[in-house]
Amino acid sequence: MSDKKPIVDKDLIRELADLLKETDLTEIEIEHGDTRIRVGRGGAPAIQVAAPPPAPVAAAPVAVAAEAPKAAAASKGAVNSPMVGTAYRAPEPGGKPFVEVGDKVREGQTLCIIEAMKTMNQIPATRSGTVTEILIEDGQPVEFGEPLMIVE
Amino acid sequence: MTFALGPKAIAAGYRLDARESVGSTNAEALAAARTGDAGRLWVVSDHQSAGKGRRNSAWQTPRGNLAATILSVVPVKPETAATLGFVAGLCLDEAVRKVAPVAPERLRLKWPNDVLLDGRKLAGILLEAEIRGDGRVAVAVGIGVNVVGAPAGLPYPAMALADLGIAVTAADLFLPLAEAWAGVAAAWDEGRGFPALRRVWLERAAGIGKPVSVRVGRDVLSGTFETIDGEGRLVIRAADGGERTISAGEVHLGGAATAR
Repeated sequence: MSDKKPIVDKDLIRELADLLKETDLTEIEIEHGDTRIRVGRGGAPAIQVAAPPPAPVAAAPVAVAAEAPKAAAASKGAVNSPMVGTAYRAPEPGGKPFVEVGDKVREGQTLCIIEAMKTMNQIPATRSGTVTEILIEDGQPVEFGEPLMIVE
Repeated sequence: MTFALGPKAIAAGYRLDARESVGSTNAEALAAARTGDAGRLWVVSDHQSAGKGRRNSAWQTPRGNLAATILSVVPVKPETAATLGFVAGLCLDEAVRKVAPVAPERLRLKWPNDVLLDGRKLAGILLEAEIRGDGRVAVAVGIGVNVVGAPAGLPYPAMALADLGIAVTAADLFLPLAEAWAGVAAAWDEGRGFPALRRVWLERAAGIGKPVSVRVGRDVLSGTFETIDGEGRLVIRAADGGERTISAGEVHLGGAATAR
């Protein structure tokens, strides 16, 4: 320890954490000497430190981790989009939707389609239940992890 | 009509389910996956009665054209599985070159995965994926090629190999297609090899650096076709200088394109 620079610069991390709060960004990554530090919010781990090997990653999460991620306040029965793409509620334009609110669905049943790169991804119900909410419109662009429907 | 696999495909463990006639090769392949097929299965016919294109538009396969689906069951994320469409485009490009003596520059790949000959659609590719609970994705990569005839009355220009006076059968084209797939899919390596395939694809792509417009839902995005990114998405430079990345849409190459 005596002849080595400390691998984790705690002041720097605190500074980054403050900056993260200020800017409302989800993630900041900087290179500091030969150490790369990434501070993020909304998911574990809150802080990642990539250092030249060996890399003891022992930094205690700072306050940033306590910030509740708004978008991830997903309800229990939410079916989230596994990818970025365009969501379709029906197999063809103007067609009968795969499901409507109030429909009973069984596990594995197709709820909607997400298209990306001309790949039609059938999104299955992850459990049996009733569709209580549909959060997408036909043809709507969706992000990774975006809730599509609620099945309870 | 005698469909067969070549030595490379056989050695790599591919199997062939050739049909006299079929409803949809994609539907048959996905049905096989649901009953436990582990993939590397080709479902092939030269007559398909219920073929589908994007968003369930009809894809006509009159007797003599090629309808082929390769089923892949792979432990990758869905966006990675989608890059198999580029594998299919490259293989088709290779197969057509093997059987049809056309100058290389006449054959181009259109994002994400059509094959154009003299700017007209010769082949279309549609992937259908089922995300499974075991972390695998079952992907049916459907490939339709106009061998003996192209349908009339389409909203885009189309052509068939026969229009060039090239007398090949669907089976003649399928053999080099499946051989190419055995090699290129191995290079794809569950997505790890996509960066290298992307570079090859870009060399054979139509419209790079040229005007493009893409209909995404109700919007039309226009600009210059810059490149495709590391996940295969279309990157457009808009008139305002901004960059847009598009994962799905109806692509019109050329400046005069309008939405329909």
